Amino acid sequence: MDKLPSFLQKPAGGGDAAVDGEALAQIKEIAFVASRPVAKCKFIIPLLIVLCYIILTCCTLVCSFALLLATFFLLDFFGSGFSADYFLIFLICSLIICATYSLNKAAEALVRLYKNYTYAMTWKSSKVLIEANERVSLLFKNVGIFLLALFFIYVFFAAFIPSIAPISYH
Amino acid sequence: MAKKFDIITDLPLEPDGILPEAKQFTAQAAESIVRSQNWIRLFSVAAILAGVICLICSLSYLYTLVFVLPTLSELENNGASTESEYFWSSGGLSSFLDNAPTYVVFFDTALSPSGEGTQRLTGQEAELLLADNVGNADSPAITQEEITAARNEALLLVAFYLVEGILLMLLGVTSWLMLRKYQRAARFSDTKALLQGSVYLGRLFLFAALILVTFLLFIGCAIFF
Repeated sequence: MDKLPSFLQKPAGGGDAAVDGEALAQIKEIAFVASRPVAKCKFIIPLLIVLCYIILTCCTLVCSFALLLATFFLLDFFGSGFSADYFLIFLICSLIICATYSLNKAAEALVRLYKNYTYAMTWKSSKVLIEANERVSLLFKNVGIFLLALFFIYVFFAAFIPSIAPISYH
Repeated sequence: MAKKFDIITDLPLEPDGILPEAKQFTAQAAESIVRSQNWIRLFSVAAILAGVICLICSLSYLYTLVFVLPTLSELENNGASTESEYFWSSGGLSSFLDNAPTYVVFFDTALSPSGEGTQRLTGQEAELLLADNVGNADSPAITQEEITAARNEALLLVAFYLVEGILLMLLGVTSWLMLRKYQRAARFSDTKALLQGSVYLGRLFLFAALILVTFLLFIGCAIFF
């Protein structure tokens, strides 16, 4: 077990002390089998994490540009007064920032989720399996927010630049 | 040859022999996922919808590949003589490309066979102009090289949208099935359902990775070609 990575090293005093005997053995068996299908994705999940971070880097660049654009329009807004276009640009910039933030959280949840499932399978730890499942909830929540933000970015862009919305001119 | 371990059929636990503490653990483990069921439902619906849109796009490009580009090639070689040819070729292309250049290209194409200028289209053969207007064409793919390039592009797009559409639909269905299994595990403390849910979760990651990889490959192909 010395060859295991640091995040899989069993901590002193860690384990499932709530129940004993046969029930504990069953719980450990369930924890092992339930975490196995995810922990077995040894190639897929790291690949997914790398792809997520590549997309995240692109999103961060776009986000920085959006912030810059928002600042310029804010300055112009105070000079020339309210315009519906400014409002739309602010909405789009906020959504880009929101999408980037949620993708960052989703990538983080994916990393921890993979670690937790691997740990749960290696040590048959029921506590860590529950923690890993909570990361799944977090992952879906953040991916959901990311998808919603992308959808609204498309809708607002379509309102702002009609030529990118195929439905608007057909 | 050793038999491959099947997580569903070769479960180490018999459903009747599970102790109450283990059942409680099953429900607790499933409940931590079921708590975000609204987000999972949203994700499933979004993935299925995106998959359907991709499949529709794939069909659209397939139509272009099979019907529109050969027609355009024919127009380039022999010239167009009938209103219906103008209507279907221009209308077909405008369904996926920009309208204004298409109109101009077909306007020019309509002029070129006789070379009699705009007067031809505003006089006796005004129907050609009308057909171009109604079909409202697109695609400046009027030379043979450009038609070939458009064919390659359409072929790539058909393959891309088809693969992405199928994978997205699989992703949506898998996440929906996963939620159903975890819901069952949380409600009835069903250990088998918990394990099946985990299998679906593993497949979910597989489909997500495939979608992203094919997407990046497509971008790579688009830049390279």
